[in-house]
Amino acid sequence: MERSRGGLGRFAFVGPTLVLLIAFNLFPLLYNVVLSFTNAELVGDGWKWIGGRNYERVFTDARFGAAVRRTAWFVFCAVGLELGIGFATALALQAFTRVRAVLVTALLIPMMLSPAVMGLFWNLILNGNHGITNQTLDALSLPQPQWLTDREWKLFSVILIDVWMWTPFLMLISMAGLAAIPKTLYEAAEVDRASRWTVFRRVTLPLVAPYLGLAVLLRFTDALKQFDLVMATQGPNDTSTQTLSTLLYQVTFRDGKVGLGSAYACVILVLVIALATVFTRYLETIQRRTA
Amino acid sequence: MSFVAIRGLEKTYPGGTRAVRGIDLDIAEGEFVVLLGPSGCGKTTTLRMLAGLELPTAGTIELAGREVTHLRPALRDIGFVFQFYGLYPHMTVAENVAFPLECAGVPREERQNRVRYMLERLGLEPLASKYPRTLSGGDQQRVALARAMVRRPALSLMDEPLGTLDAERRAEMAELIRAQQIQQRVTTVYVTHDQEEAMRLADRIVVMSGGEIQQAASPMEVYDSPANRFVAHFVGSPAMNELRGRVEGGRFLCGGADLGPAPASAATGEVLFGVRPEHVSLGEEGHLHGEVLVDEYVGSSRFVYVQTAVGRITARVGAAEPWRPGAAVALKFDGKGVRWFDAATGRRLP
Repeated sequence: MERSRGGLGRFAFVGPTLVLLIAFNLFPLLYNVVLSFTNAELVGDGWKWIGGRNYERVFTDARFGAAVRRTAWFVFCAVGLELGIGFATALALQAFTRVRAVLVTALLIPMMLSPAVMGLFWNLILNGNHGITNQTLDALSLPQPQWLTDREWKLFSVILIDVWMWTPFLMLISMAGLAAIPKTLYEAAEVDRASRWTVFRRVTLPLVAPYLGLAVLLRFTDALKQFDLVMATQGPNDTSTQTLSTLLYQVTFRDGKVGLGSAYACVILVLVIALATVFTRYLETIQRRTA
Repeated sequence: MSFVAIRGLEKTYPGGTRAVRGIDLDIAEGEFVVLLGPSGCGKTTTLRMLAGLELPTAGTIELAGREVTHLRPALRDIGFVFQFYGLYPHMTVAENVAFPLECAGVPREERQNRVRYMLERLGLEPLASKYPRTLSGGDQQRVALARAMVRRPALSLMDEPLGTLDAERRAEMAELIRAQQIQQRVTTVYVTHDQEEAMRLADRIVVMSGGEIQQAASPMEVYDSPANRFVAHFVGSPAMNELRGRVEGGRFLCGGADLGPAPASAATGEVLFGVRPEHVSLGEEGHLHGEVLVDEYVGSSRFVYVQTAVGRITARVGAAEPWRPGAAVALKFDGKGVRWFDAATGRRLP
């Protein structure tokens, strides 16, 4: 009696969440797997099993390989720059003890804005003819690239916007990590006659590393899904900026090929889980060493 | 010539707190000096100025004949043991101890030998590859000690290194620190608020209060001939008994009782009479009468607290003779143990 009531009581707490998770996460996931083996389309409701043919198409599609490479390059550049600039800014801010609060607030603004809105703003800023960037470059008699329409510059521009948006996040986490290092350790290192470079390399860096790792992991999984900035500046079907997410969108909702899109989604999911697992493991080993 | 010479050292923090108010101190090479005082007396600030972790507002510090007042810690050739260890959490015990050598550019092989030797001496060998967080407080402090000594600095500075340890560990570590210091003859300045620890370790105790030195002398001298009331009260547990009275006609009168001859140096007027518990005996007859409040048995002896008409007096008596609370008792003072203090300045009268 006691036990069954306990079980019921527990279910009352966990139940609603469980139901929601099943309805909105687990079911769609499984349904997506089912769809990936069919020729379902967005319009019309007749579909039949076609076995693994969708997957065959995914792996032979040139767009898919290109999107994988492009997304990887995007993640590498964007997160790399965000880490470098964010951490450097955090280090530099340590020198400004007085005005730090004001500076930090100002620097955090980009992070708090909606990515879609940001994309639209940057459309104006980077506009080839009347954007403020090129007007400024014009005034300085410098070359004015067509940021959003030149194939050579498009992806770079998207990376630039992402860096602009997310560098503050890396900066914030870096600052938290730096603040968590006890002052005594710096005093100890000074007494131990460590040079500034040695202090940075042997004390600061290893102790912030777990924080940086966590921030990079979060940014990494997020950047892999890059969608809004590309959509806002280029649309889903632009050949030089198409990422995995926009390709998926193009196939499923523009082309209306739901079955094929589901196969794409499954492949991407496996890819992301695999990468995230490797990364998390690595992060755990760093943390075990320091925490 | 002194090895460390401190002249007119002062520290005023931004905000106006005057932590150290003009200190002069000479320390001989190989000496173990303990800075003793209550919290806020300026002892830690003085130590940190010696290390260069804090810069003085005025005054100079000379170390081995070199003026170092404004030098960075790295340029002073010192070792420092922090109260909360200050070990690098991401380095193993061996790596922590090796770090000062690594910074000094000592070649790997020599480094390993010296680290091994140091770990062996402090009984840390089995912990060499452990990380600090997995060690007990006592072991962490031993690692900190090893790290501070491995480079054989000219001056070793310790900021309440035993403050966070339990009683048993404290005694053990104090003994270890003293043994190491005697063997290496490294000039050491050690900060503590624990007077017993200070007595046990020091060649010389520097008692501080209110940012000033009250007395700098051997433990015995500090205990037997305190320079003033503050030192008399701070050193010794239980504290020295104190009676306020008048000198009249060469006699010390207190609450109507005549407690014997006053010192020649005491002019007629108010003086303070100080006597440590071990110079007070209890019996049927004596200088003062009172009632036993508490009889505290501590194994090797007893501390008996007696309420008299002129105040409470503590006596240290033999462990074998218990005293019943409420019993009437007479107190006798051993003339040799009596110290006199000026009632106005608190300074001891010769």
